Amino acid sequence: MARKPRTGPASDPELLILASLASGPNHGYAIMVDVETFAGVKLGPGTLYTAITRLVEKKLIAPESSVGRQRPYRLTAQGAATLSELLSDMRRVATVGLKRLEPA
Amino acid sequence: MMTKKQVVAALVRLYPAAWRAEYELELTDILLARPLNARAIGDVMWNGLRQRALSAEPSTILGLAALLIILARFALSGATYGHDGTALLQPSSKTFPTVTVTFLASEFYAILLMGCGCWTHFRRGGPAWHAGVAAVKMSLIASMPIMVGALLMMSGLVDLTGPGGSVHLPSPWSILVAPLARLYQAWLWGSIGGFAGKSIVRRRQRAASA
Repeated sequence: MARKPRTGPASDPELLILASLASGPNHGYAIMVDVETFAGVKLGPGTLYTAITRLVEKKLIAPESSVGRQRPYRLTAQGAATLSELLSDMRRVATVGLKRLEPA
Repeated sequence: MMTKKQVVAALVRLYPAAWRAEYELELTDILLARPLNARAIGDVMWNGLRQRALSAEPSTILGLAALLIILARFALSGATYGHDGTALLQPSSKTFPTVTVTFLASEFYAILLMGCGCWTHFRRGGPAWHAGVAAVKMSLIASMPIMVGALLMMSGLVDLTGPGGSVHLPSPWSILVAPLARLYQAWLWGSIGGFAGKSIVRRRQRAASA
């Protein structure tokens, strides 16, 4: 079972939603379940939609036409670039940090 | 007892109308699909109120802040009247209105009104007098406790003159009219704030295009 990070950049709702949508368009409930599965973070419904609202405003994700009552969201080109940049930064820091933790 | 559907509807209503128009159906479906425990309720309540605060007009936010200051002053020192700067009400230097609400006549309040005008212009743009109208709205919100207090005094429901009329207060009519007579100043300060906002926006645009 995935460990549940409670704080830190890896539990940021916006980052988690962007990472979830990297695999393709999805609607709110599916994003919530996906984030819980791959990151072990339970996003509350209010937190999820506050983050979705912000990401739509920043044009990092965009709503697609509704399927019934559910509306999928997709990653925009700007969103993909932002996610890639954020993850590269995190990888750089993680690589250096882990290397320094190794016994000499 | 309320059904889950009713609880969810009440929770979603905490969000501002513009937000609901966009996301209401999705949030409702998620809340109905998952167990509605205390954590989920708290999460939706907190985020709903946050959305409301974020989408509120500057005039509402600053008006409520000023209203709280007036209420705090009333709670601390009661309905005081006199030339003392700490009194809630002061005799006016003009013949009309006969009373001045000390806080509404302060320099700090004028700065708040200008801030309201400036902030409104950042949010909405438009001519400076629109920012003045927002400052008038802010002043009306801030004046609520004074006007409600005056109305309650008029109706006889509240006696703010203390035991045996120990606190001398002017007539409720003059208290009621006092904040309204200052609305033109609110418009003026708000418009000045709007002008300031306009020039800041222009300067930023020039810097960006340079």
